[in-house]
This record gives sequence, structure tokens and C-alpha cells, in this order.
Amino acid sequence: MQRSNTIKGLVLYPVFLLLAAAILYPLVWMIYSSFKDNPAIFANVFALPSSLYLGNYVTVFTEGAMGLYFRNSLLISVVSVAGLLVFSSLAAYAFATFRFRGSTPLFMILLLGLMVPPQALIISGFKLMSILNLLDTYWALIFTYFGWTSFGILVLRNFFQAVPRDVKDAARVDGAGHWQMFSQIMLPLARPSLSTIAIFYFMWVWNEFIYPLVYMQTPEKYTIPLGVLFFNGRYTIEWGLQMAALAVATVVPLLVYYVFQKQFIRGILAGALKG
Amino acid sequence: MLNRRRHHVSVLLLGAIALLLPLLAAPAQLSAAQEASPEAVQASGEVSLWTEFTQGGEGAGIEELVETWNAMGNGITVSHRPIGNEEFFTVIRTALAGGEPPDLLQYEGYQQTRDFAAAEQLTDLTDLWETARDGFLLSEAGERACTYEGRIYCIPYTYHTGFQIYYNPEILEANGIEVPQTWDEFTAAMDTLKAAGVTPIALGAIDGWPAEHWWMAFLVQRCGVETIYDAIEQDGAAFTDDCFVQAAADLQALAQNGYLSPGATGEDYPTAQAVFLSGQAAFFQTGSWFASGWEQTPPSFDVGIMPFPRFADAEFGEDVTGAVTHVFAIPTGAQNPEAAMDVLEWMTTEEAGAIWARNGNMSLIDGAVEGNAPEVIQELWATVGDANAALPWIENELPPGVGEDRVYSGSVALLTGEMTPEQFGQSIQEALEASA
Amino acid sequence: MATETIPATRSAAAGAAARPRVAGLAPEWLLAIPFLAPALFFYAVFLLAPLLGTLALSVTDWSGFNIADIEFVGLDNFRALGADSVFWQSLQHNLFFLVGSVILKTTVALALALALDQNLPFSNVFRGVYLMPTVISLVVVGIVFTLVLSPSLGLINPFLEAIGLGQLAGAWLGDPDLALPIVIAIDVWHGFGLYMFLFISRLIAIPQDLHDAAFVDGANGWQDILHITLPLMKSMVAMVILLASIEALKLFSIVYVMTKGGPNHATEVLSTWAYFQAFTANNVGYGSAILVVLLAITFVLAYIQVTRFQVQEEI
Repeated sequence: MQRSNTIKGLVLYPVFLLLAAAILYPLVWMIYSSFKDNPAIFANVFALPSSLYLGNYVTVFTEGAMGLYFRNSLLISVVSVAGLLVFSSLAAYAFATFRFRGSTPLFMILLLGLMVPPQALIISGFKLMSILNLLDTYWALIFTYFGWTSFGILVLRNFFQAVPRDVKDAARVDGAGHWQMFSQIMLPLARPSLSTIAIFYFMWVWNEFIYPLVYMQTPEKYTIPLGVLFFNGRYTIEWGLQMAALAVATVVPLLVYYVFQKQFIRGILAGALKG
Repeated sequence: MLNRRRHHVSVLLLGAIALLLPLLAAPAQLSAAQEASPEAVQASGEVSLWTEFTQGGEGAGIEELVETWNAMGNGITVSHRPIGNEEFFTVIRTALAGGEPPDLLQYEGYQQTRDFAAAEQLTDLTDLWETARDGFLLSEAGERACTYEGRIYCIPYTYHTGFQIYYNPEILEANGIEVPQTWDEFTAAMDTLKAAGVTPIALGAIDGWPAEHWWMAFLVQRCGVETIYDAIEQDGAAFTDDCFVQAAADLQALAQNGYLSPGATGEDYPTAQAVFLSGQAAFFQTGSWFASGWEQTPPSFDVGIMPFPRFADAEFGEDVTGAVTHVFAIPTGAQNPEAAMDVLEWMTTEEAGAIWARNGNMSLIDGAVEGNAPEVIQELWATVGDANAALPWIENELPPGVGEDRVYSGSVALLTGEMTPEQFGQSIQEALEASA
Repeated sequence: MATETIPATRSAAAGAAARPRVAGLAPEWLLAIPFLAPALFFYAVFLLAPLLGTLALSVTDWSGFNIADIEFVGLDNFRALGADSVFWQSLQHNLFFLVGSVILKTTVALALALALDQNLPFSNVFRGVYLMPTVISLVVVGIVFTLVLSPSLGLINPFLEAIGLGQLAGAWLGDPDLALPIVIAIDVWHGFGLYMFLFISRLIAIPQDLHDAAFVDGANGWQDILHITLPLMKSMVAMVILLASIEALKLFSIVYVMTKGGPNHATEVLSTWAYFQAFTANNVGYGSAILVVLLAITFVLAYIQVTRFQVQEEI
């Protein structure tokens, strides 16, 4: 056993390390370059900063309002993801539990939502938001993202269906109604799946920039990707500033990820998305 | 589990119905949607202004204009939303289509004026222009940008010179090169630089237009302004004519001779700017907007400016400088059109022109540039006075499917060698005929 | 394969038998309503309605400025696609991207999941590192790689020269032959980590006694992976392929941020070409038609995968 591990290690570690370098280097480069001023970057793109220049960050936070964008993104993402989890688990329970006419076609129609790219919807979506008087509000984005339940329903329906019959029967014998069955038996069981779905949703909502671009008209309401895009459009030739904006937009989610990493990973590893 | 096959059939049926329903309901749905947003009357005194002015002299200029207006405290406040150039049109279109445009809108004139006005999206500004016109320079060129069916729909605001070349005097000096005047001197200079391992031209044309602007500079000498306009209007000239193909060949030769920076086809304009400003290329050909940001971020060396070098065999010797580019308009769907009109009226005054010029922009308002603009802008402006022709960037005059696809993509294809100059001309000509 | 169809048929038969009994018992649809209502409401209003709007627009000619100018043109837009060479080019790019990114993401993710499952020290650290790119916004990734790849100012060319491979230095995104493969590589860089985790989660769920039994029977590590592990990963592979294909067909952000479809359409895909038509070229109807084609392709592909995937699920 010990010997075979050594051989495995000899083969695998170089691969692991090379890959880790390919992933980390661009990020590390971006971060240390953000501490260089522009002439220093163009003099030598590789070089580590000779002194810690903080001017870029000052500009990013004073001119760039990156803090504001971050707050907006966080608010929108958290509310959207919370809603998505609630709505999709409720619906998934219905699809997994009840037999009713049209349930399969309905389910298929819901799956359609997985496939629709945002840019396919913005023209009619904008008109809709203008009719509903939601333009330039966070709700325009949150409600739009609430429409993304398809993925959660797909995953959770499979999960709920896979819950062994005797667990459900035992609860029913105890006189549990559907509401209790859902909230007290199924949801706790589904916690790992829920956390995996939450990560996917968070990622999608966090990254999305077409909807904020057309629905949000006040720059103070921009989200992080949009803020970065515009900030970089404004300081196009100042790589140092760009790097600082990118670093802010990257480091914060990375920190969040590392803080919650245990839960995230435990969630995924605990067998969410049961295959 | 349930009988799957039957359900799949019903899914397909339902899908088909879902697909067909909107087709039947479409006209009703759309007209209902239109009625659902009546023009709200708001007297809040807030004027929303959308521009593509995010940076440099434009960004600073518009900010000062807005601040100055708001400081007057006359009950009307302007709120400015700068939108990056690439995203600008997406935002404008969804806003117009959705019936929620801003009160004041900046855009680039010409074909856009015609498109917007034909769709009844712009307020007729002929009266305002009549009163303001005398205070404006180059008013004919301005009208060209703003006219649709004999009426004026926008106020021209900025002029840009387009055909100068910026150079790095330190690089030229280090390689013993005099500032070239003719095309032969220019190519000789580039050969010297190349031999010395220096990149002659900084270019970043992944988006097409920076390469197209070179083509335009060649066109001016090869075809002359009149023929170019004849081709645009498809009246007596075509883009397949020899002079157009020749200009495309001139552009392609830049790539074939290795004069361009290595990222010419894969980098964007800002990167090319950075290449030039960081001293890694000797020449950079672009419009006066490049210099308008120097007030805010001065370049690290004393940038030289030279007129575009002349071919010995150039057919046309006209002095062509550039065109009116930024215009302002009031959308018909504006919430607060009266207040927007007040703001726009003020923007045609000398006071506003001075602010615009002071920040590095070529204001069209008489006297604004001379009295206020930074030195480099005044120098460039002086060439406008001596010139005898103006020529808008060709994509601004062509339908966007032609200008921003065939011309832009084709200019890059010339550089990558995917297209011959003849194919380039044909591709533009075909698309233009198809769109007529 | 043959052994899989038997239980599937059996369970289908059982379901058919159970159906009349259940349907006769209670109005289950009534019970389902409160559970379904919120999801269906937001789905119908904020996704389906605009989607129907796009479908409706695809049979119109509209410049996108004034709603009064919309003109019904039937299937003209779809007919026009045939003569649009950029459309066909984009479709090809979509398929190339789909195949490339799905194969790479799945194999890289699966291989790493297996490798990291070997209980080597520091596996956790590597797992954490590989998931990192996924957390970063695609806009950020696009911008960073544009800077990294810049032939004049970026990292790659000087790096190649530094390690003596200067002849490999290239124009990267400016090279029409390389631009699309580079976009695929960046997409894989960004996305493989999450799929790797999905595989790891399935690996962990495999009971240790199955492996032990294989080793008792004299299997070596490879045989264990080949005969025990991989067959049990099938449905997760199907799930990953489904998710990765949907993601691949939706491709937009990276292209939009890095190349806008250029140089000269070398990275143009259906969604960017539709975007150009609708938002730059004044052809909202035509752009919508391109999107409808993209949606139809995605739907057919996903439908096939989902129905196959579900059949396996029930075993």
C-alpha cells in the first residue's frame, strides 16, 4: 500500500502542481500587479512590485464605488438565492409526491428554463419591467432570477423521489400532512442538495451582467460585474487600476468562499445531486 | 414509473401549442403592451441624460456641464448616466423599444439620426437649431449629422479630427528618423524601425474600427471625398471600384510588411493606446479623442502629431480632417421634454461651449476652442480651419449591418489575410445593395 | 446496457398499474397547487412571458425602436438564415465549442476526481484550489485573460521567450485559428472545478466494501476504477454532460468580454451574432429568430439527455 502510494504520488503530484500553478498564477499576477503603478507594469509585466503602491485601490474605492456595487450584488444574490431555494424545493416536492394530470408536461416546460440564455429575453423583459414599473429597482433583477427555479426543481425532484418509501410511510403513519412532511422530513434530508444548488445559483446570479445592464439605470445600482466592466471601460489604459478593480471583485467572493468552504464542500460531498 | 412514451408525445404537443400561441396572440399582445404605458406627465424637474462619455476629456467635460447646470438651482436637476461605448447601443435600444428613454440623449448622428427619426423616436429640434445655428461653426457639417427628411433632430456638439498620426519623438530621434511627410518617407522610417527591432505602428483592431480608420485615411487620398459619398449613396460609385480596392490593399500591406504591433488583430483599441503610450511603438493613428484625455491623464512623453503622410501618386490632395461626432437629442418618449429643452438650450450657449472645450473637447460653438481648449486641442483644431472638406467615419453613414459588420470585420480580415482587397470591396457592396 | 433496461421496464409497468388507483383517491392537483404556485408564478411571468415575446418577435421585422413599426413577416427570418454565412459559421463554432468544452470539462473533472480520491496527502488543498476559478465572475476572468494573452503587453509571449520557446509566441486571440480554442480553454479553466466536485461527491458515496470485494478478488487499482468505480459514475457523468452542454450552448459572457465575436467572426457564436443583429444592426426580428434556433437546438439536446438521464436514475 505504502509503496503504491509513493508511485501514485510521483505521477500525480507534478500534475496537481502544474494545474494549481495554471490556476493560481493569473490570479496572483493580477493581485500583485494591482500594487504597481502603470509605468511599473509596462516596464515589466512579470516583476513583483518594488514597493507597495496603494493608489490604485484608493481610486477604485473613491471613483469606482466598488463597495457599493459589492453591496448591491450581495443583496441581490442573497435574496434571489434564498427565494430560489424555497420556491424550487416546494415545487420539486409537488412533482415528486403528487400524481396529477399534466405533471410531466409541466415539468418539461419548466426544464425549458434551464436552457434560456438571458440575452434572449432582454428586449421583451425590459418591456415587461416597464409595464410592471420595476425598472431601476432591485426587484426587477430579483424577480427575474426567481424565474430560474428549473435547475433546483430538476435536482430536488430527483432527490425527493429517491427518498426511500419507508421513510415517507413512517411519517404518514405518524399523521404528518404534506406540509409537515415537506418541512420536517424532506427538507432536512435535502440539506446537502440544497447547499449545492445554492452554490450554483449564487454563481449564476453573481456572474450575470446582461439584466443589470439593461434594467438598472442608476449607476449606484450596478452590480459587481457591471461595475468592473464600466470601471475598466473608464480606465482602459491604466492596467494597475484595472487590476485593482478586478482584484476587489475577485478577492471578496474568494474570501466568502473560503469562509463557507467547509459547508460548501461538505454539502457537495454529502451526496447532493444524487446520481 | 408512468408510461413515458405517451407523455413524451403530450410534451411535444404542448410544446407545439406553446410555440404557436404567441404567434396567434402576437399582434394583440404587442398592441396591448403599447397601450399599457401611457406617457406619464411628470413635473419633477429631473432630467435624465445618457451619454457614452465615461472617461478622459469627455467624461470630465460632461461632469462639469452637469455640475454647473445643477449649481444654478433653477428647479431642474440633470442626472447623468455614463454608459460604456460598447454597451451604449444595447441600453439605448432596449430603452427606446420599451418606451422608457432618457430625457436627453447623446449619440453619434448620421445613420442613427435617420434610424431614430424614421421610427419617430426623436423630437424635432429645427426651431432650437435655427436660433442656435449662428453661434455654431461648421454648421453645415453639423446639419448633415442631424437631418432627416429636411428637419433637424439633434444638436451637433463635438468635432473630431481623424487623420493625423501621433508619434513618439524619442523613438524617432533614437533611430535617427526625421518626421516623415510623404508615404515613402513614412515607409522608409518604418523599415528603419523594424530593422532596429522597434514596432512601428501600435494597432488594436479586434473590434474592427481602428483598422477601418486607416482604410479611411487611404480612401481619402485614393478616392476623394466626393467619390466616397457617391459610393455611400450608391450613386455613380461602388465599393468595388478600383480606388476602394486600392485603399484596402494599402491597409493590407501594413500587415504584410510587418509594420503593425503583434496584437493588431487580437487586441482592442485601449491596449494599442497603452502600447503607444508606454513607448513600445513609434506611431499611432487615431482621432483627436485620443488627445482630449491628456488634460486628465498627461502622457508620459511629449507626443508629436503629424498630418497623415501623402502618397506620391495620390489622386486626391484634399485636406480632410474629420467630422462632427457627438450630437444631443430629445427622445419623443422623454418624461420631461420641456425641462430637457431648457437644458439643451443652455448647452448651445458660449458658457457651455467653453466648459466643453476647457476639458479637451472640440466644441462646435464659435470661439469656444480658441479661448479655452488645451493647447494640443487648439493645434488640432487649427487644421480644421485650413481644411477644405469634412468626411464622417464611413460606418456612421452606412446602415449598421454594413458599417459595423462588413466594414469592421472586413478590415480585420484584410489584416489576417482572410480576405483579398477585392473581396473586401465586394462584401461591402453586396451588403449595401441588399440593405437598400 | 441490456441489464439496465429490464428494471426500467418493470418500474414503468408498476407505475402504469398504480396510476388509476392514485388518481381515484384524492384530487392531488389541488394539494399540489400551493407547492407549485410560487415557482410557477415567477417562471411564467418573468421567464416564459418574455420567452414568448422573443418567439413572437422572431416572426416579425422590427428595427427595435418603435413598437408601432413591428411588421409580421411569417417565417421570412428563418428563411433568411440559409443565406447568412455568419449564421452558419456561428453554428459551427457553437458545436465546436460544445464538443470541445464538454469533453474537456468532463474528462479533466473526472480524471482529477479519481486522482484526488486516492487519499494522497494534500488532496484537500488541491481540491480547494481547483474550485477557485468557478467562484470568480466570468467578466473578471475574461478581462484578466485578455490582459494575460495580449501579445504586446501581456504575459504569455514573454514567458515563452523566457523558457526558450520563443518560436511559439503568437497573436493568440488575434489569430483566427487559435481564438476559439483559446476561448474553450478559458471556459474549461473556469468551469471544471465544480464538475470535479460533483464527481467527488459521487465517488465518496460508493460503499467501501465494493472496492474491498474487488481487491479481495485480486483486482488492481486500475481494474477497480474501470470495473467498479466508473460504471457507478454513469448517471453523474450524464448529469455533468447535461449541465456542461447547456452551459456551453448559452455561451456569451466570455466571448462578449474578450472578443465580441472577432477577429472577423472567428469566435462568433449564435448568441453573440443574435445580439449583434438585434442590438447593433437594427434587426430585432432576425436576431430573435437566431435565438429561437439556438433555443431549439438546446431544447432538443437537453430533452434527449434528460429523458435518458431519468431512465438511468430510476434503476
